[in-house]
Amino acid sequence: MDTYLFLGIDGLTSGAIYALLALSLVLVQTATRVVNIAQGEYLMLGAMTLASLLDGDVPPTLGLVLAGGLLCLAPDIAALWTSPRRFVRAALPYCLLAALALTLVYITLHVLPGTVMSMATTLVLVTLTGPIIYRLSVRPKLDADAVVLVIVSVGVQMVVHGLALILWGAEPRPVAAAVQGGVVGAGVFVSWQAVAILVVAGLATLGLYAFFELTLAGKALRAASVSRRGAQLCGIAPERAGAISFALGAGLSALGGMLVAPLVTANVDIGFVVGLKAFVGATFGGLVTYPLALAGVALVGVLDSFSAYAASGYRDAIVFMLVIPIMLWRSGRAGQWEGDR
Amino acid sequence: MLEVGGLTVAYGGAVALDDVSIWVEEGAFVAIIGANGAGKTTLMNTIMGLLPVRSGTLRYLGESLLGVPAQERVARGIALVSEDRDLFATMSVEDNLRLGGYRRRGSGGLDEVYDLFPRLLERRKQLVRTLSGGEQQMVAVGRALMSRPRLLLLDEPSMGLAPIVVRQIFDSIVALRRRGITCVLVEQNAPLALSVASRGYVMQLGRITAEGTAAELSDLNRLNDSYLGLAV
Amino acid sequence: MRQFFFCALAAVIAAVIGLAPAYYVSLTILAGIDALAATGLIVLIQAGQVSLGHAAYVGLGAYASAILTRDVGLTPWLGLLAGAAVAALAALPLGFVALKLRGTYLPLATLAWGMAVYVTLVAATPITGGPSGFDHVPPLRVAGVDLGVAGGAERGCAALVWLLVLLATVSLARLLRSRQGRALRAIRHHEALAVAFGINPARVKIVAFVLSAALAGFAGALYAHQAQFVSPAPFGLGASFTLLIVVMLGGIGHPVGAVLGAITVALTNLTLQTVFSGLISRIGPVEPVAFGLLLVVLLLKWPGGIWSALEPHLPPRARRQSIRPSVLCGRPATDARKAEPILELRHVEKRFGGLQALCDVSLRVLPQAILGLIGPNGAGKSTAFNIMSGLSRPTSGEVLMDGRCLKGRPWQVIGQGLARTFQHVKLVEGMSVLENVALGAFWRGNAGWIACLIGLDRAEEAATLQAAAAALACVGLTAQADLPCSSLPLGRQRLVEIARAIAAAPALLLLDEPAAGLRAGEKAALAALLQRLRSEGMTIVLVEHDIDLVMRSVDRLVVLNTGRVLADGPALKVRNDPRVIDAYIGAGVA
Repeated sequence: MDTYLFLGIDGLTSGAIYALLALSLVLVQTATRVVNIAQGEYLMLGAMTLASLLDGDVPPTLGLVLAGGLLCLAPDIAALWTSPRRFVRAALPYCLLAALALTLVYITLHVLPGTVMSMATTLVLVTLTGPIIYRLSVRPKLDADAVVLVIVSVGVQMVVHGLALILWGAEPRPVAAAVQGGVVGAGVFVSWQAVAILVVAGLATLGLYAFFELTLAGKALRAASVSRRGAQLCGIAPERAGAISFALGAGLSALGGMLVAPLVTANVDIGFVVGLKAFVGATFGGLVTYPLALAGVALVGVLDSFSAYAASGYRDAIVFMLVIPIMLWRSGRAGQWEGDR
Repeated sequence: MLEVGGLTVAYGGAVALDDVSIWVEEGAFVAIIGANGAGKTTLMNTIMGLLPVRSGTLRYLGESLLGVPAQERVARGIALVSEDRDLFATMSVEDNLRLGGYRRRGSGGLDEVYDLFPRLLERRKQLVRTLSGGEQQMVAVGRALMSRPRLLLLDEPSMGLAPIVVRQIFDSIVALRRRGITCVLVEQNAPLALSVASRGYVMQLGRITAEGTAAELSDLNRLNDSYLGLAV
Repeated sequence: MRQFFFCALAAVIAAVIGLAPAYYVSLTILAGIDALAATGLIVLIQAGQVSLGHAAYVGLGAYASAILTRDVGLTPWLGLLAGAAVAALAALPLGFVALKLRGTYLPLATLAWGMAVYVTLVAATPITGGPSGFDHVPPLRVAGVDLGVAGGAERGCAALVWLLVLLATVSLARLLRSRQGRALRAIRHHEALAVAFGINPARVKIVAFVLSAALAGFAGALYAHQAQFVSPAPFGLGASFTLLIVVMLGGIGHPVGAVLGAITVALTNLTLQTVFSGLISRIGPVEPVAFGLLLVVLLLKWPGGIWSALEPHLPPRARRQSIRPSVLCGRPATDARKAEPILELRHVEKRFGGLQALCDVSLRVLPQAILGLIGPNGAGKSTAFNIMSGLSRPTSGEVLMDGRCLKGRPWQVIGQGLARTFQHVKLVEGMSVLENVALGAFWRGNAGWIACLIGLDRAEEAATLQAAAAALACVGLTAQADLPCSSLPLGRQRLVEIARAIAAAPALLLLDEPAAGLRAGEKAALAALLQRLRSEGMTIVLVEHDIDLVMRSVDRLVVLNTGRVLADGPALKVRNDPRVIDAYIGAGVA
């Protein structure tokens, strides 16, 4: 019995790693009906950016944000000659955000170094990548089949991961934990960091629930993915809703990455590895409910532990093979409209 | 208030609107009638900004609407109750209504809608997809009203509804007229439309084929020609 | 002639294999194996399915064949077949799963399955040798020569691989043009259409999965015997994504897209490694970034790939035989049955949740007559039509065809004599007019997958095309037979739909708003066509809004209003019935 308890708690702490990413997967899916294979890369960017800042280096993420912003602005550049006023109006938000990013990085490196400032700057930088990626990869074909959007996210994953590999290299970077130490329970060492993640995940779930269920802005985001025409008739711009959703998803994943980094050592591959498992957990809730997504990752974590204990090599295979029966179960329960937006 | 001039709209390779011109003065109630496929819905969708214009002019309160995205037109005071209703089926009645008021940041307006449609007050927490056709139509109209429009476009509100429900909806629409909202009503049910409107246009195959006051258009023979084909 | 392009392509490949330096030849081997696996993926995509973890099947084939030949002593040639079989078996569950999962769930399931297989290959060390794999895999022997990396016979190996690629491409192209291919392509675009014409979507999807996996497994086995070494590395998610890029780049419209894509990817890799090697050694691996960008740009801007750019410039396929259509269109009714209704609805009710769509609807369709079904919007015409065409079942009441209850699954309805058209035209893109019409005759044939792959269906195909041409002649579109159906104006597309239904040789033709969106001239042609079909023995039920057309064409008229039958009788009488006029122009309300 003790062993099971040990494995259970160990599993929960493992599951915590996937929690925030799973939540962001659900967020992006409910708000944009895109199942984002690339979602894990935001987690990776969060971890790596934090690592860079804590090491006192300018994070390559800054370059990505600036370059990406420029690409988004590109279609409007033609307006520079025809209607300068229009160009200025389009370029203004980009310039302001670029200034914000540059200022934050500067402050973090030279004025106020430390964990808190670094985390704040990381959050801002990675959150900005969300709408940029949305603008470049989803918005051009908003009406596309959901399947096409999934494959597009595959391409995005290749690009982001590839760029990260070039920019940061393959070396893992240790990140000091925000909270050191831990507690021992039932023979298992539970680090405070893991507890912090669980607490943040719980708060995030509550926050997301509050946002999407109780605020008008959150409902507007949901509405835009339920009926695009309906949203337009209410004065809601579907493209802006999508960009905001991607920003929120990126931010949440980045937060996950920052908290997870001390536990698993930041390296450019963690997005993928964590991402897949988080995805399995999220499918437990059909990619539409947050609490079930959390339950799912808890299950994945526990399974991880048990399989590591029992039949080590096959552990991941079992977890992945779980996806299909779970999906069949969810598909049967929810009927048409869940997997088929 | 609304001026449409020489509007030509095409999609799917076919010309849906051919040189259509209508005008709507402020506070008026204009009906657009015609058989199925006449282009009435296309006209409404174009005024709302959901379809691109091939040629022609579209002016609202003196300013051109061409190029203005649909969601911006809502902010300017135009609202559409579309033929498909385009409701958020998986969200509650109240959510749907509140979202209608998204651009009008001031709260309120909800009470007025519930006054108009008491049935919705009872069902306000229910998911829209569990409502009957008539109730869904009420939600659609209510949602459009939440944005406090100055110009309300109604696309076949009676479609698929039992006569008693239609009567209810139209009573509400008449009440709206008294509030001074300018209305454009598209209907296949001509007498119904002409009973509430002051003026009207008849459309056929993408063109305006007749125009006049409600009384003039109510002449049954003229309608008969347009609707049921050649008289025997 | 189109064949010139393919011959030229083959010649270029042969030249490279024969003349290029050994290093490049070994690159072509890898490209060939990618191409082989990709052809199967293209067939799967043409069936409207997708596989994000396809490299797993390649891996299964490689390992299966390697293990069986190395440890069990199976000859490598049989090993290839074994590899294909193992991969096919592994895809079977996914095929069944594909029937239940909709939307984004299916691609994700394929992704997860691919990952699971890969991880298992890594983990099952006693069988698979774990992450380092194992070597000493026996090579294939042709004419006394070992075609493996140890023997140094790259050219022979490349020749074998590309010969197989050629075989696969030709067979699959043949399949896609055949009876089963038409069914496959119909499923992708309009499943409802496929079902209405006798195609069982479940069977098609499962076969598509199994076939594509078998090809992948075969390619994997080929790879194993060529490299004489297997390890899990080339079969991970990255390889699956590469296969995706190969097919999106080359074009999913034709199996040769796999060849085009594989060659282009190989060339791109080569270029990146040689020309940009300096860049790469300074910045790092740019290949994933380049290919990722390529994938995104392709999907957003250029989803048809290279093939879609190439194809319009190629001369169209010449049809092999000339068609001499007979002109009899309908099925002449025997005198004995003149009085019995062909289709009858008895007290049909239909409820959707709380909504009563149809209430006590009864009607009879007499042979060799045209029945019109009209009513205001929302009257229940579409619901009634779907029940008549067997697409949906009434909540209560009976639907009788030729005196017998309409039964069986939706795709078995056409065999009972009912063929229909659709309100929103459902023609399969990428198929010509004649091919679309030939889809109507699907249920009358029985050529299976194997027959279609290897060409045993020639006679039946010729007969099918004759029937299609005859149907096309009935509607007067013989001249347009070889045009792509999307190039026709709406009026003609509707005529093609009618021809397709005629090609099914039905006893009853159900037309769903065929006049919607037609201009005056087209409507006149339609009315004339309906009269002609009737005079040749066809029975027709017409649902329409255009009263003018209806009055010109039908004998009897049934009017529906709010789910009930308002009037039923000779056309003129019903048209002048004051209740009907009331319902249409509207009951006075105020």
